[in-house]
Amino acid sequence: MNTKSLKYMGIALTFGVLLALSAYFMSGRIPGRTVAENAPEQEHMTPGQKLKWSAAEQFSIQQTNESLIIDIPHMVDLCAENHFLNFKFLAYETTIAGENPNIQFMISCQMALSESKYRYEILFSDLISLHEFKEKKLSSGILKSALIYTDEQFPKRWNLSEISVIGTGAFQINQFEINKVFGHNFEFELVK
Amino acid sequence: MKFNFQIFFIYTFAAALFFAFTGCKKGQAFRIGDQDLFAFGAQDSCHFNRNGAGVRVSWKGSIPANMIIHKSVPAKYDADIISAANRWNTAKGRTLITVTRDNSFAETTGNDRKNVIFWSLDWDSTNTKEQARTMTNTDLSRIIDADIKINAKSFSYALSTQTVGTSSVNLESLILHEMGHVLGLQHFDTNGVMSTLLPSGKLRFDISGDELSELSCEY
Repeated sequence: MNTKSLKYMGIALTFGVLLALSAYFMSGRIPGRTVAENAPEQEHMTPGQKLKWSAAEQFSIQQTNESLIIDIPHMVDLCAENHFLNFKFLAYETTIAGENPNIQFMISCQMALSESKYRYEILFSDLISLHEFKEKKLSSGILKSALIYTDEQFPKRWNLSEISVIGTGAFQINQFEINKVFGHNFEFELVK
Repeated sequence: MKFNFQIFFIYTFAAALFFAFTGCKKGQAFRIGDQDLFAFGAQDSCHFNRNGAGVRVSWKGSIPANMIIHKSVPAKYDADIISAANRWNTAKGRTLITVTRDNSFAETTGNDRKNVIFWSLDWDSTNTKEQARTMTNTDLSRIIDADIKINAKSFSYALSTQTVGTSSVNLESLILHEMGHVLGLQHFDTNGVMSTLLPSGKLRFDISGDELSELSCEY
């Protein structure tokens, strides 16, 4: 190999390395670049993954003009060894001291089983009422808010950020998993 | 002297490897736990809020954040507020926050893409222990608006030139903390300007090494 070809090869390789370096550092600044892999095949799932996959698939959430409707057909299974189900909604475009305002909707397994209740409706008016009251008891569960203030505008854009099952068989379905299972983020607007 | 491309390439390659493995904490941390259905790639938080896609929320390329002192803030505090901004700028070695007074600005807090420091005499009565509040509005992973509200209803404030040990809150220390939130930082547990509690009379000006290191993830 002569000196000239070595020179061009060196330039080409150096350019390639610099390009790779730039891509590496730029990747930290590009939004929405999270890498997802396909879920593992059912037979390769751990027991925890199987339970969660099944649970995540069966939740159904719909939005009407005035409410959110959550269907949980497998409530009996979920409540067999758990105490509460918690749905967390985030004001995803607002932060207070670096944290998002949030509303949690907590369902008691004991109440759900005693009433054989599988469908839950949360009125937008009940969610908006948390601008003044930090907590509101509904017939189906409890709404609790954090980082929502009466002297600030009520946040407009919300999403479902987490579903938690609380008890001995506890697990969480995070926003990324919600996105994958439902095929989109579950977003809604609350206008006071 | 003749330029040796082979040596140049070897050093460049070594530098690439070094940065790839040390990488300023800008990379992704993949996790796949017992119950995780998907490999979820999220950035290290570095004490920044992360959006639903796991990306840190900051001003990105829109830095510096240009802040306005609202007419409601007594003018005697201007120098301390500007000094607080300069402490961040000096510590980082670049301009992260600028501050100017604009007495013509009449708006109240809100997502108006104006970054304003307000003096509030009408504070939420359920949060009287809160000295100040920083609210930011974001678009995906970018902060587009930040407002600081100072609780002048429940607290009195002292200038940095006033005697230490006063029962008043040192305003410069408080603003220094709130400006950390403006930049996107969350609270820290360690000693530094971003720890949650600022006792009355305390001067707290030293941005910790941890705080600076975390800030470097974004700026």
